[in-house]
Amino acid sequence: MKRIWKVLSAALILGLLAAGMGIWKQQKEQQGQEKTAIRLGILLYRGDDTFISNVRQALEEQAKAYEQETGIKVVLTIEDAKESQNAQDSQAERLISLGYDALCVNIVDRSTASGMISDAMSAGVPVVFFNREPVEEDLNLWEKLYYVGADAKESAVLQGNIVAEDYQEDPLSIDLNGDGKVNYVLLEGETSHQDSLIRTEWSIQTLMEAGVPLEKLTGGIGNWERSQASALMEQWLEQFPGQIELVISNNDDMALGAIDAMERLGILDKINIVGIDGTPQGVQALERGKLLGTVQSDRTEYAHAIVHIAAALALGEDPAAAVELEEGTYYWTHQKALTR
Amino acid sequence: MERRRHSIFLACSAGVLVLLYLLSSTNLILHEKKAEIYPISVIVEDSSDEDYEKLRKGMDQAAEALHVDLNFITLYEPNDQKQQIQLISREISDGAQAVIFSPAAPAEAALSLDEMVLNSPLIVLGNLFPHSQVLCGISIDYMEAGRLLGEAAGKLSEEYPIYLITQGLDYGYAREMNDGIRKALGHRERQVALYPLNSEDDCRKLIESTVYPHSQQVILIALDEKSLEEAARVLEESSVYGEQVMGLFGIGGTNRILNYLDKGIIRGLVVHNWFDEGYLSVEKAVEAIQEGGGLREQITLEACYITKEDLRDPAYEKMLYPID
Repeated sequence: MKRIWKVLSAALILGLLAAGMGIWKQQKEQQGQEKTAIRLGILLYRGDDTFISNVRQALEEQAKAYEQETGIKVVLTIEDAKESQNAQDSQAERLISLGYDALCVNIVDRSTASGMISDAMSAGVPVVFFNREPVEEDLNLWEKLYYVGADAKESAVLQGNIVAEDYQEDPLSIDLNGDGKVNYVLLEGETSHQDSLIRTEWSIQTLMEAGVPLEKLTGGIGNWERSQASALMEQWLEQFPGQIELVISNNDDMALGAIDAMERLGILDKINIVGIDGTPQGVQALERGKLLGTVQSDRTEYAHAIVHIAAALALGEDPAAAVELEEGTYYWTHQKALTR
Repeated sequence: MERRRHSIFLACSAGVLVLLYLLSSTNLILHEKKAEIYPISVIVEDSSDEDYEKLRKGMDQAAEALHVDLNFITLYEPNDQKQQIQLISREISDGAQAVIFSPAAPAEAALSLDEMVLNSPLIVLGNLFPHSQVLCGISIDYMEAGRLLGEAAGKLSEEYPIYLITQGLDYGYAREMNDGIRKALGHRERQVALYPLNSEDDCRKLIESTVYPHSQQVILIALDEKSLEEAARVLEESSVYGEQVMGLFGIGGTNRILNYLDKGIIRGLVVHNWFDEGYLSVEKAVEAIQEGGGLREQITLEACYITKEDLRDPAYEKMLYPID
């Protein structure tokens, strides 16, 4: 009986040793291979959003620049969710199953990131969110989650200052009819986007603190879209003929939509329009004198941060060594006000 | 005795647990059979993949159906034929079992490939090359595309000279398009001139020259997508140019180009089914991998001439705006 006991114990020890050796060998093999190529999946909430389309272009440029600098091949796969969270979840699942090294996600619905995060965590695939920030509890679920964006409060304060400075210099340049109040309309982005609320709140607050006598005529949700904003503006121009003096827009595309509406209705009166983002189209409108100002976040810096954080994570390195992170998770791009 | 039995039972249980662990969590005993995934690389001629949406939809659908891991690769600079050739070598040495590529300059690519030993098959989004490893070519007949555009432009008044604009006859299949247009217009006595757009501003300067110093009404035919977009953009910016350019024709199917057609800035367009082209290319690549070679073939897709009115035609709508 003692012999059987000994044989069983020996078998048990041998079994455990074999299993341990097998796992150790697999891990050693993986560690021994230095990566010469990385694969990054870029998931966009909507590819035809002007700002996102510009960031996409910058991401492609930055990935190529990284490849040339480091000699590490970067394969980018860019997917457009067309505003469907289900589609984006499937895209993420597919890229994770294909063994992508990191995902860069411009999430459709910022309140439902936990499902994607959980899939990524299980597969050990780090995620860099950008432009649309998941709720804080979700970002805290794992240490390999990051966020790159432009500080919405800063954008709004800069936007407010563009108008405030002009008003302080020459009140009649903003209070166009000189009645002592500035009648404005407000074009807001999606209600579910964190930046819409903050941009609106701080832009108005900055103007009020600077002593600009604001009077709101109306406002509406343009969902960041030029066409929706254009339709709203057309309606307001008819509703408040000759009364609108200022258009405060949460982004450049909606500001351009307001200009489209004015041109369509043949309105030649001056109306000051301010946007945010500094897209090439917005800057062009500024140069042509159609926009009073915009706030530009450096899209090259934006894309540089996303690519470098993702590449560092894909290579198993610390992203904090590549870019300066706030609270170990956030990267905020620099912004500047652009005026005529 | 009871204690010994208990010990043996515990030892056996531990042994079973170890065995179960080895079976379920490692591949030391049972080697899990994985579905074979084919790594295939796609190399295009542009520096961004933004304008390949329809092609990619077809490719992605085929990739899902046929277990393909697709790498879509763009160039550092558009139309860099040398880099395309380097990328073909790189992708094959990195493990791509097949490469699909859209040659920037087909004649130059054919020459470069002749000198290369390829260990994986190549599928060309264009005309078949002589290299034995280039197993399939998929494209429209560009001579025919040119003929369609020439015929459409030829219906406008013979007073207007026809300007053919291109990034260069060596890029893409502009040469074949040029031949097709001239063939269609051959029997008519009309002035046809070729204008290569060498720099970014050349298209604007050419269109401006129709206004000043001498006013001249012309017809423009773009031999490639980039030239067409550029011309449409210039025309959109000024209504004056629209009065001088009596018709802008061309080839291409990006959403921007379709919007220009819808706005009436482009008068007529040659399109084809990019979704099918993408799907077929991946399907042929997988066939080439599975069969380890096979027959070389050229697949010719139908080229269609459309105008603004056709955009709402369900048959074209499906082709031009494929759903996911």
